[in-house]
Amino acid sequence: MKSRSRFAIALTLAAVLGGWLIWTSIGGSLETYTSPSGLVTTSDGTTYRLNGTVAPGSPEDAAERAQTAEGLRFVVRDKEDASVTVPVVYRGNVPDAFKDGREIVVTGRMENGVFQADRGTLITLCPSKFMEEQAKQGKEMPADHSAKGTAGT
Amino acid sequence: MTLAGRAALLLAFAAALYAVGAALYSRRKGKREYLASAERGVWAVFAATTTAIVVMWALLLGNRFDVADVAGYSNTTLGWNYKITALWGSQAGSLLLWMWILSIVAVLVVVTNRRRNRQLMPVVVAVLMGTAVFFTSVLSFVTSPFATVSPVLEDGRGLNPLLQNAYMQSHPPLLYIGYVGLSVPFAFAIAALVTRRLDSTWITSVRRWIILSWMFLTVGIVLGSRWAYEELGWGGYWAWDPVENAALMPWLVATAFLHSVMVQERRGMLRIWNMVLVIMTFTLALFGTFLTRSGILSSVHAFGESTLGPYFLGFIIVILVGSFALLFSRMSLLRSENSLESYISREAVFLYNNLLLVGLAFAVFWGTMFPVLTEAVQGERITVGQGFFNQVAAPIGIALLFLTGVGPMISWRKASPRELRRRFAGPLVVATIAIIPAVYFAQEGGAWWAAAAIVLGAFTLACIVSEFWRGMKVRHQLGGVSWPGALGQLFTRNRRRYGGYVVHVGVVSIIVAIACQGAFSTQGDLALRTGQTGEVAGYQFTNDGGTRSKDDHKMSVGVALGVSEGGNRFATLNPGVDVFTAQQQRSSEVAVDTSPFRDVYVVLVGLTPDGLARISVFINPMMMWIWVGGLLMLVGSLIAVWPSRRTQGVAVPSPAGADGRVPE
Repeated sequence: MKSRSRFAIALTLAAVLGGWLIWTSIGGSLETYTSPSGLVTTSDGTTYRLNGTVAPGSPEDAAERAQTAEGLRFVVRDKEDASVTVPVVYRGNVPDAFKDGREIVVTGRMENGVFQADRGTLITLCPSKFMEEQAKQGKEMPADHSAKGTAGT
Repeated sequence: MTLAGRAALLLAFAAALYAVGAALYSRRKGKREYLASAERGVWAVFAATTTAIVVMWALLLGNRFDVADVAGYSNTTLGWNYKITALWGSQAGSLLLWMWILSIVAVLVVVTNRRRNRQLMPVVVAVLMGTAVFFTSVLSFVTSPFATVSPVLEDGRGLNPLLQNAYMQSHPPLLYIGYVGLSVPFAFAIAALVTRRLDSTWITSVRRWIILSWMFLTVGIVLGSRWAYEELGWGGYWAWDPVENAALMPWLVATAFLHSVMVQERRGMLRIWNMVLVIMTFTLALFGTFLTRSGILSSVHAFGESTLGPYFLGFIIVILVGSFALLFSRMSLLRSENSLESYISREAVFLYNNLLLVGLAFAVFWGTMFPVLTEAVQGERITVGQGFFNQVAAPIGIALLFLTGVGPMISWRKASPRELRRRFAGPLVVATIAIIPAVYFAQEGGAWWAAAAIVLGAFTLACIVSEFWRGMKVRHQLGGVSWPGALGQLFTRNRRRYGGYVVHVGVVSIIVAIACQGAFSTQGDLALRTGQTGEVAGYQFTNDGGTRSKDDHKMSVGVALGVSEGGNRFATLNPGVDVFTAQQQRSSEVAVDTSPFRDVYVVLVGLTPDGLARISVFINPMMMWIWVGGLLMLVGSLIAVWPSRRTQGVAVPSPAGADGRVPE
């Protein structure tokens, strides 16, 4: 029995240690997922993961612009309400699937009405075309199509 | 033709339903003959599902664009080999593939157990076919691969260019074989619980299935990373994307299971724990498919709107609740035969390894599901960045690396201090020597995790080498066998053990490579006109001129880059970009120069008409060893499961076969 209680203590200790590790790690990496409609009022330095579609008129040479000092400027449009948009400035790797109308997620902060994206955080979702119509009928996008464009380190 | 496909799936559904019924009925007294009938039902399911998938392939090859999944994922210009693999581009198609693999697996189980495990088989068949009932009903009533569209399109939308490569042709089926293979140990575990035959028979019966499924999962994950590395063009290979996590979670728990069954076989311990692990593994395999297919990751609302999501979730809950209720009712039969005698023993190390692996799986689960949970509770999606995953995985990975070396060297029950000193002296010396270069490297970037990985990697490698050395020495000195002969004998006489060591070498290779890449990779952007030279991390890149070409499908640009180091030109890389006209989509063709110590990875971002090439350069140290490690894990697993000649000749009498009934 003595070894049993010792075992229980060891197990609890492991669980506490694991929980602590998760807790401390999660603290520093939280980002609020939002759409342009959720953003318009805020300019408070919170880190957001902005989700929406690329509004028409994004530059043809997006990838090249994102490497210049000025950065890539484009507009993100709300998926539900097309009248709500947010301008975004981004630098870093641009996924191949990036183009007008594509759903994207990008991490950053609002500064003076412009969404300043963190370097290399732009990712595109679901480049498969046909499912867009089907999504309305309650079908889903195959997620393994989501092109990853996040930087490694 | 779509009608034939739908009919075949309905037939498969009916046959699976019948097989479940007949298998369960055969457990009644005097109804044994129904088991043979249930097993014929399994064959019928296989035949019907095969028909369905062949019909689907015929539709894809025949450019039948009235079928939604053909129109959405294929077009006339697509090569025939991609038409075949376009099957798993669509949701319904990938579920059909899953179902087909399940039907093959079920047939294999029936064939290999014709004379074994006859008491377990009714429940095994019922569980496997119960899963088949679920998948065939999804394919028949929720999301059919044979759904048609109107108006019919002139041409299909084509397959996403990102999926047009060998990795995406092989990666999904390999993962699915792994996932589905894990249903076999699950089915045997449930059968053991139901029939109260809770000795180690069920574990020995499924040992090969566990290793093989694990092997397919491993190869599937490594190929998926390789795809991300070569096709997505962002210089990395793993981004803790939910889709990746979905494959990693069952892999982690399956790895834990793979090790803890050895404790049960050897010492009769951890019997409840093994049941929990096998249930978790199978549930996570289903959960992985659920995650990627239900839309729950984009939002809870999308999940609510989808029909497949709740259906899948319901099935997972039924499996979980049912299995755990059954486990609970059999708890008294699952007492450990032995108790842990020492915290420094083989079984204790296995226990630590299990805790770490399951802990990591839990953390990954937590991080993946965090946005879903916060949205459900607070109405706001809070996501967890990659930093979280890296921060949790690094210490756990390092600890696992250490255990990989230590575990096989410690004896069962209780290790004596004398034995520990003798066995670990050599590896400790090696580790101490490795501290010098490790610290030197780590000081540059303050990358202490990488330094720890290098030191422990050296230590673990030394442990494995000394294990081989010990085995060979015994055979050489006592058996008078030549040294190479002794090495060969180790593999032929004890495949599982030494195959496992080869897998471990692969693990060391991968963990050290991941740590080095994470800590020491560098990235730089260059804008070069023809003839200009730029430098990133000590490498010089010269623009030797661009090329442009255009054909029916795509427009391509490329640039020739001379790469040199210290004036010595060692490679010419040709990165490019294709723009596919049908989809108006870009596809970067990265160029990589690989050497044992580093990859020079170049992406062409753009080429202006006046010849200005913008390129992204990534210097990734040790990258090659991730792929080498994957290969070693494959080879090691194959060695471990390879049928050995000695045991083949000896029929292993299973208690189940002892009742004398040989079917058919």
